[in-house]
Amino acid sequence: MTAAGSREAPGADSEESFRQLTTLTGWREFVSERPSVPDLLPATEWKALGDEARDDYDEARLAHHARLLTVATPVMQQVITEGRRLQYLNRHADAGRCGLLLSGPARTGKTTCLAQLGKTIETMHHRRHPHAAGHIPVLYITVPPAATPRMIAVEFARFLGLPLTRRSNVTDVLESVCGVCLDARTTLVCVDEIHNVNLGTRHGAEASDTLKYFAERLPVTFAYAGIRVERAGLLSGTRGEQIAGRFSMMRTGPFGRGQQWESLIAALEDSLRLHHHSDGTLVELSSYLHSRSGGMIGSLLRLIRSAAIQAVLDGSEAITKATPESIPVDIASDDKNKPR
Amino acid sequence: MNKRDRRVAARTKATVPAVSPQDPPAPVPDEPAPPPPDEDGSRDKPLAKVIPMPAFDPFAEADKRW
Repeated sequence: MTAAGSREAPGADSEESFRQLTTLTGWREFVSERPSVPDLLPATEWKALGDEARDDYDEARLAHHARLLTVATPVMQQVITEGRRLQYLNRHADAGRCGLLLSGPARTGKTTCLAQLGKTIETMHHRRHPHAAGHIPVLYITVPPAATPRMIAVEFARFLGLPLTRRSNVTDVLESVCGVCLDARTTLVCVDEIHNVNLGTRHGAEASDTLKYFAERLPVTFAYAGIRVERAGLLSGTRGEQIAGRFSMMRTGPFGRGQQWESLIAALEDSLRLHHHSDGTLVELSSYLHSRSGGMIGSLLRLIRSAAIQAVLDGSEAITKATPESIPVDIASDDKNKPR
Repeated sequence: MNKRDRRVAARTKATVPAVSPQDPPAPVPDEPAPPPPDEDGSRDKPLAKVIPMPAFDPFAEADKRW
């Protein structure tokens, strides 16, 4: 017998261990986390730091720059509003509960929106039920490639940390998961990488049926996120029609070179903790940053996070155009990699 | 002074500014200062105050009734 959630046992050093949102432990850690922005010390105090204190100070800033902040983009606000609305809508529905489908290209912030929706709903649940420590209001799973019904069910079980035997068939797993979710008052199930369910294949169709079965058995709202799900075939055929009939679609995409893009960059620039950085430098470079990132928020974050980390490590304590110029981003976004 | 000389004198008087050589020269307005060169010459556009997007705070969001 194995615990479904045990295969990603974290290392002894919690700082070095990596957190998985797809396990209850990792998810709860994520939900309870309140990101703190380190204060920038006055110049005299900073220069007077001893070696050990400076290392600690720099480590805190490196950790901050590796995350930066979650920006309330217009899409994020729409997803949160729609997710909250669906929670109210589905709370008293006996059947035909509605869901949310988040679709868009890679690096447009789908996973961030989905996770923040889950975090918001779980926080709201704990505010309403402050003494219900055993509740598991939100589940977060990712669909594995070429998912089968059993693989989907096991992902649910793995999140919950349910023990599974090798002989557990899919019905056993489904029953266990549904029992725990009902007891634990689950209200939202977040399913990421939903494009891995291809209704054009037999396994994909059966995996979709498994998700639908969960949706019928559990009084929960389902929120899916995936890359261009229309093209992935999730909305085709009879099964696809059912999904299309119950889910509202929200799309993510690249930013244009407009005011929103500059506001996004200004938000990220505001959160930098660098001693010699001139405020407004990144906003001035907005057009350049758009060329480098293709307007994708994921690529922009990678570029600015990397540049900020570089500025701490090399002691320059500032980002200029030369900093991101020396940093590679993902192949898909970078204009430098596009054929001319 | 004949008629021709008087005409030349009148033209000269009309074209010479009415200041004596002892007057201090009129102040020349400063030329507008050229825009400061960028450190890396990469300025995309003139600066205007850009309002940053707010950070997303799920705890504050959870406190909202709507």
